[in-house]
Amino acid sequence: MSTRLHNGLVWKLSFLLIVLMSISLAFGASTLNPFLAFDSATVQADILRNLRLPRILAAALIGAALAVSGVTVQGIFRNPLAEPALIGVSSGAAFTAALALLALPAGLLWLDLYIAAAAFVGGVLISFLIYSYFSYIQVQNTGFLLLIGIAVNALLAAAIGLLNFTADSDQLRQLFFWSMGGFGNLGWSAVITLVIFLVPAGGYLFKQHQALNALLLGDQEAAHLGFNVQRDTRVLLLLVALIVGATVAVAGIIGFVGLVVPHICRRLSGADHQQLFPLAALVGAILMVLTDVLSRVVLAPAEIPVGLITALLGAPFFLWLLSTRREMN
Amino acid sequence: MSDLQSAVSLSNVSLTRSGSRHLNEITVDFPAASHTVIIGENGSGKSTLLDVISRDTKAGEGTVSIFRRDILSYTLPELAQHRAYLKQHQSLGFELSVFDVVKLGAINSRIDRDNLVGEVLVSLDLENLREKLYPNLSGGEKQRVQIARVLAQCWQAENHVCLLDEPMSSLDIKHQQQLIGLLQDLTDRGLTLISVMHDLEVARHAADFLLLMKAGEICDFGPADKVFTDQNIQKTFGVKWPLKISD
Repeated sequence: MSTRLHNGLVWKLSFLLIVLMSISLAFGASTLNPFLAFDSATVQADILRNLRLPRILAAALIGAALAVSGVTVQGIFRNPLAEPALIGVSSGAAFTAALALLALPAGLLWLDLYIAAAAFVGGVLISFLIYSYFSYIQVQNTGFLLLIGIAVNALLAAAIGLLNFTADSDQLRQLFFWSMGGFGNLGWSAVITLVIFLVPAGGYLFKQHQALNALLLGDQEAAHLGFNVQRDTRVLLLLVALIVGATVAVAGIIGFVGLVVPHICRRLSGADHQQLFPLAALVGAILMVLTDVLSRVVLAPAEIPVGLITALLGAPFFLWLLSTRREMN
Repeated sequence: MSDLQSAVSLSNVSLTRSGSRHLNEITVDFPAASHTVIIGENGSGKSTLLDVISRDTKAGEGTVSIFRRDILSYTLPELAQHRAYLKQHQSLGFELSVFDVVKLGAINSRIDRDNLVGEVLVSLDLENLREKLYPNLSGGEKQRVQIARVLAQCWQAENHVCLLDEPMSSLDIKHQQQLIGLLQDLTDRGLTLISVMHDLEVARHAADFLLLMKAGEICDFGPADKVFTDQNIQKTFGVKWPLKISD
């Protein structure tokens, strides 16, 4: 795609995102006029400013982060079926979050914060261990990293199953909702936490677009072009682990965004990561804002977990993509 | 060849893998701004030699120098400024247009990349395919695109070594001829080319110098017209040359 067309698309998507975020302020347990946010000292203004606005911003940030992570992981592995969860970050986070939930006493002050911290540390740690094992067995083919990820994910799924087995019904319910993802409790502190992690990591990721482009040719070819493939892969995976770890810690596990959005964006712009990153961030944010609205509206005043909606819509969409894409061959 | 400046020098290079000797005490100077074609039977060490020159494989013994500097002393970005390498089998993970694939080769270029890629495409008769998706191309077209990608990396020619492993495979006779002409132009502009070929007639036409290999050793090396003799070919391949196929 030409630079002019790309820039035009970025502007249009940015405008669409802002419009959607503004409109989505209206929806929730009760419908509110978004302009009431400018009123002072009304309950509606308080709801709009301190409940809905941070939640919508967090949803947009998380959508952008998951999509950009998906682009990165698929680029590293040159595999359109790869997604961030394959490097173990989601299952690692789920395991340590479950561990924390069961180990810490119910009613503990800041229990949610401890669980989020445990999820973040677990996600990053498991990704690090998977990469360390990959380095230890000294195989050059990054495809092996995916295989290790699949094995570790299966192991952790079994471990989480065991933990669930020992949990009481309250803990089980909490674990279930956490594993389905959601934005229900996200306030300004969540937005600030996400910005602190995602903006620097995302910026650095974007600076690596040349390395990811070179990796499309293969590890050896990227090295011939002057890229230190092992170092770049390590740095990129660490950044993805940090980004996804932060999103999982804040909002639980949300699948399919990191898998589907890169495919949509490659259709729009091609495979050049310089163009792919901004598009993926915008499309991911738009999809997540829409999903969040659906989660609030469909069974209002109850909320459907966001991860359920992304899976319900994402899986059939991905199946359709599979039937139309040559690159899956 | 002492009067010619060498671009690539190998001194007593040997390589043993899994107890098998792939290269045995290779000492050779590849002249700068010329095209050396390596020929030899299957498994004689031709591709391994390119791997060692490119630093994909580290020589077990001996030293390899590019432009009088030990290859191990280059950083990866420095090496990429002096050496390009087309390996035998290429694949892409995603759908890229022909233009984008070739542009990846010019990723480190300091001059306008779009213009450079345009020039390379024209010179390889790929201009009409520039917007086509790589997976939709025929085998020969894909091969030309990969050659274009590698040549885009060393298009400035001077102070560059380009390694091509079987560049003529899958090409029809028209495009073989065209490529030979282009490679000649590039060596005239200062590019040092080292390639592996199997078609002896094409090799003879394309080469300024020929290097004959057998069982990891050099049988002969020198100007193509002197080295390409019936006796040398028979010695290298163990068959009578020219080939006579009776019915």
